[in-house]
Amino acid sequence: MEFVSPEGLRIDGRRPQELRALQCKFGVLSCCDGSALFQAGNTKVFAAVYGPRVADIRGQALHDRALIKCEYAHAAFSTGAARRRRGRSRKSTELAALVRGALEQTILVELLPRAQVEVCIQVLFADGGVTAACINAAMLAVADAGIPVRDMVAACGAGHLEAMPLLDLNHTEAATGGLEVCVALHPALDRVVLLQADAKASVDTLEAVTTLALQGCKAAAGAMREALLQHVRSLAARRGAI
Amino acid sequence: MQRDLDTLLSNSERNFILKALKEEQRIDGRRPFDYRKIQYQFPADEDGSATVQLGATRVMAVVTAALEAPFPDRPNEGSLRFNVELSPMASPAFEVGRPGEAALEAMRLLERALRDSRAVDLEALCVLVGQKVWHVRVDVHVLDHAGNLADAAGLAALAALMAFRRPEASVAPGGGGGGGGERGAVTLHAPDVREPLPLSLHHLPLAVTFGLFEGGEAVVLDPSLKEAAAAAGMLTVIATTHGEVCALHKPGGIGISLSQTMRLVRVACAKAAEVAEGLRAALRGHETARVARRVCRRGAQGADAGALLDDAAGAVAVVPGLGDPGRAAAAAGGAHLDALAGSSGARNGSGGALEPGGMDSSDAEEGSRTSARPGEPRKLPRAGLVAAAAVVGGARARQGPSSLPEQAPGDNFEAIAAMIAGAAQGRPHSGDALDLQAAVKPKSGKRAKVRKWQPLGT
Amino acid sequence: MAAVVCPGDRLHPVATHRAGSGTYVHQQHIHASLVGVSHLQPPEPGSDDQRPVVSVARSGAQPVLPQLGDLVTCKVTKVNPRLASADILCVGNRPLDASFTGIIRLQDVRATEADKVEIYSSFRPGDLVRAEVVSLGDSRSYFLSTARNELGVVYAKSAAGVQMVPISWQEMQCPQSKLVEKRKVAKTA
Repeated sequence: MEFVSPEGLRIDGRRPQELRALQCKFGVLSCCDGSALFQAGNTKVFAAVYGPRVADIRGQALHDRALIKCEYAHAAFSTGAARRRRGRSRKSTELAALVRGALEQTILVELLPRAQVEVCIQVLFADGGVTAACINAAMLAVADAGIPVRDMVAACGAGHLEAMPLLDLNHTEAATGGLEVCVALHPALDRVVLLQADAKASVDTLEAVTTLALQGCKAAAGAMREALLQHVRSLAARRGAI
Repeated sequence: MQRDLDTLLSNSERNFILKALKEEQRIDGRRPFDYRKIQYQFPADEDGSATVQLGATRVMAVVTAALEAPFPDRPNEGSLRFNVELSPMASPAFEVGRPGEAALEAMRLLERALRDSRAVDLEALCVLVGQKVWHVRVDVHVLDHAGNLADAAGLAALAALMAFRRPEASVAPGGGGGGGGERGAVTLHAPDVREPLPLSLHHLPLAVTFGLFEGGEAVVLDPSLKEAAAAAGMLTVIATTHGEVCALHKPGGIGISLSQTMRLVRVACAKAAEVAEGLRAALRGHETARVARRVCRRGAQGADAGALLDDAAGAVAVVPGLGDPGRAAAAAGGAHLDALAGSSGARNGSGGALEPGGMDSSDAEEGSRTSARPGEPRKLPRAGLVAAAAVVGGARARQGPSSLPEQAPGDNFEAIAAMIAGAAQGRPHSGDALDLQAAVKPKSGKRAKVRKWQPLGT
Repeated sequence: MAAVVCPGDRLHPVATHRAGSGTYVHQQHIHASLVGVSHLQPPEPGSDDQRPVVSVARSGAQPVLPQLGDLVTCKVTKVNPRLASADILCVGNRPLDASFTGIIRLQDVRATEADKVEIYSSFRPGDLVRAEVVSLGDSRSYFLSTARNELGVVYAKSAAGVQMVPISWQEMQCPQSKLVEKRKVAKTA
């Protein structure tokens, strides 16, 4: 099966360096402090933020900064074939740790001592780029909750197939087992916060793919920013602040 | 960051470390890109265990393998599983019970380095497609945590995998109505019967961890415990010795620029090559010691300077001085093994390459052993043995004085040891091999005679 | 200036403006840390620092945490001879979604004769108390103080279940049963 046709189109009709269509919705859940729905192509992720609150386990509260907790779950129907998962699997712990790591660098934790910010992520459909989508959804939910952050954090994945770097792999492309990179970036500060790469590749290939992923991050950041601004403008207009 | 006892650091210590780093000094006197001293220990009596000491961090890895049915979706591949135990004796931060996030992170790094990057050839672990494959399990125990568990665990696992020897399994060609057992019964040979085989590794992945400080400007390699507590982030690069990257792991932590990341990746590739050299040298020493121990064992048993020889193609041992029963056994065994010689020759992993040009045990570690002398006659008369020994002895002399500790009195023994190490199998140990042979292909007459043969020294 | 900004947006240099709430300073620039509308507040005439204050206000959800010096409204949950434990319900004028725990120690109940205080004569479980946050406290709760005239019990129910009327800074009376109960009453004039 060829992943890039001779005309330069991938299996879903995109160009090699084209992101999937991004969609962001805010305030989708009513009981939490902030929530967001992030969709990249078919990958759909919900994120809800509770906090800042008193830490559940008082002993874990930190005296000078907030405690960030992250829970990850994916629906049984999220990956094509429905599979029942019992409790926490290793993959969910790993993904939750990655999202938490990205958020700890983003949220200004010194402003919220003793508090706990809990982020719950639910994947509704996983079609590649799940880690990136989770981080983006968590970022949008945190911004919706009004928790002070250093900068936006935008994540994007990229891969290398048929000697070509491809941006934002979907599930079919990622399943081949080639190089896959996930990068999370602070766009205004231009700093890479999270970087995960899998599968063997030469250093030059890795550099090319990572650079492409960085550009994807910047594009995703722009889209997320536009969505956030529009949401807040409409909120402020309704309350008469503008 | 969860509150762990090993990340607590006083502000004075943290400031001291950061201030020293500004002048490119580290608190233990190393330069920013220096590793701590790496020491390897391989236990004398086990073939799949290694203990690595990286400075004060100690990690032990044990490799075991079991022959079982394969996973249904991969009928022609073995499997490789990892388990990382962070025992409470290693650090006050570790608790008994379910593996925490740190253990999971270490386990995932090992999986990505050794399994997902296809470092270990899993298809070579298949013995009988769909029925019997080798399931290899690597247990990594952290004995002492003094910083940089990722690198130490990766090294220990890799060293253990390279030192591991699995028993050779042979499949009887079923059909022909001969055997009572089912078609293609698998025979496991004891280590004394057939030389156990190493795993075949395509490349050597090594983890290299960097600690990132402050604004991502100051970077150190192989952070110690205090440096890791003072660090603002960590980056682990899993690189092979050929300048390829198997995995990158930066789970949060302070942000760094892309150019800085790439620079660190290149440094990691260079460092991985250095560490791999040290690992290979340690394995060479272990291999020599192992062979010498076997010679000592055999030599002690032999009444008549037990010279055991096999040729690379894999026939049977000659025990000179024993006379007819020995010959008969040899003949019987040889007839049987002959049937396997074809299959074993075709498969990778029979004896070491033994060329007059000298033994290169590093080839053994790389796993690409080929049969060097397929056409050699099965039995070497004693004169031939001595001649061969002389050849090998000369080769070894050319190689340089290798240190065979203790025993091996006399040059002949050394040479013979070399031949054994290079050759494929040992002599057939009566009890095991012959019973197995009987199970596969029962014979009459000669079998009875053979059973009466008293083997040397068991 | 009512422009909607995103976190990370660079607003003004530090040389010409001061950072207010919802912003932070990084490398000589003021960046926004919230999504919201940015406001510019002119400096007070006669103050030393004549730079205007940039702040970003979020309409909608705002995280609320009790800070040092905040006036909070809390409901007493338990009393023991050394302290009174209370759930913080409001910080200033803003109600909280989830309550925080605070304790009023014996020495923080009142300013005068602090060693002769009896907790049971000052608070009872169920009272609504206005207090001030004096410390972030230990890992379990904030430390609150009612040691000012305007701090103390603002609402209490008598044993009969009726809201009591304050008669002095130490006593409250039930209008139905005319019984007088002792509390540390807040002066709400």
